[in-house]
Amino acid sequence: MKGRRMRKDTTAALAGDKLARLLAISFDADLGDEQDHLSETVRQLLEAYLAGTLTIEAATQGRLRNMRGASHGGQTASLGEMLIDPHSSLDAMAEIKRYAKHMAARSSSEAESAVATVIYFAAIANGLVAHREKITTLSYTSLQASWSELLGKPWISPKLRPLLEAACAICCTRGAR
Amino acid sequence: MAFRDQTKMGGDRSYFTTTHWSVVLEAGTHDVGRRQEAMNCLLGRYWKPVYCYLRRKGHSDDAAKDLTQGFFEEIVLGKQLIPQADPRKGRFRTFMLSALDRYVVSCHRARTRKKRCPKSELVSLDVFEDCGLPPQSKEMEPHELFAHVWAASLLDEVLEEVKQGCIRDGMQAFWELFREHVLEPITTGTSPPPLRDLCRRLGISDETKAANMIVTVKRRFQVAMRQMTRQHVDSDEEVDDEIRDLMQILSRGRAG
Repeated sequence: MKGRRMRKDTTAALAGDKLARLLAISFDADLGDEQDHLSETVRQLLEAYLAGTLTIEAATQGRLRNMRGASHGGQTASLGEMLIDPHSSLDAMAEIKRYAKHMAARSSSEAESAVATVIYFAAIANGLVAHREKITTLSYTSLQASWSELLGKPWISPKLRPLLEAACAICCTRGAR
Repeated sequence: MAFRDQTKMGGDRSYFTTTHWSVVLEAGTHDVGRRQEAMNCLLGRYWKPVYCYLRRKGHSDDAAKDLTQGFFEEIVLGKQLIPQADPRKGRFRTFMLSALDRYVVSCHRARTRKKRCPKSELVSLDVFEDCGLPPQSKEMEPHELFAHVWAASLLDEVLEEVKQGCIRDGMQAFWELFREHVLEPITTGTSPPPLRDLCRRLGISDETKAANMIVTVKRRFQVAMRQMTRQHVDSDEEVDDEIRDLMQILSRGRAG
């Protein structure tokens, strides 16, 4: 056995996040409809982040846990749950938005950048829908255009749709003023 | 095929499907040939995670190899470790690591009593190179590295099985498409090449057909991954949890 050597072509040489993405191929929910690999990758990545299978950086996670603990009596929640929960605090949404911006700036792929964009706009949508607060300097017109674009993507999570649609509706009213 | 132990003795204790290994080992205990065969199977699957874990713990190359071999011969095979795994007490990976830790401690004690046992020298982490592992391995905790190599071994096996299956079934073009459009973009962090380019190169009539071919290989990947993972969990329902658990460990600490 001493002659046994590590194979150079093994996936062991890959970084952990790449191994995680290879494993994520196991969770393609609807392979029959796949036409576009990028769409599929974004969908997988987004679902993984929303479900908490892929985790955001530890420091942000800690701050969100504390904020969530304060508003929900110690209950924890996935990123997806926080984004659609009307009782999530505005501070938590601002923190998620800040993180998403950072994530977009550091993203190494188109798919990851798209996921960061969704998280960014979903946090703003929650602020507007649940708290009637606009936590960005972007105009209502610009926000509405961005949310509409996201709603048109085949990979957008069904869990986020109602939130983005509600945010669009508010923009429609406020933007017209 | 289910290898679940059906006995009611000792209560309703359930077993990992790793009893696949139990069956192999039990059958081979008194037969030198079968024993060697079982040992080779076990080593093929688990050698590398165990070896890397020991290296990350600071054991030298030779010591880690000796300890790995000793662990499999004396504990896994000699003491029939796998049938003792109880899923109620946690994941199979954790169970195996605990047994390995106990073995290393017992070896250390035995050596201090001057009994014959693999020599184990602690060495600098600088020698922990050239193992085909990512640069961040040095910063991983030993158990994280174990999970990393465990997942990589699983993926290597699954990918090899899918590849060989495609070749066997005359579906080389399917595999090439999957490799170039799915695997390589993930492993290299690049965008996948346009399907039309791949179609032209691989002689595939249209992009819809190519997309369907990719789906076919992905399905094979899913089946193989679930079958392999099933050997380490107690029920079909836990397969996804085990894969997600590995994904979570692997992505931990990664800045977005």
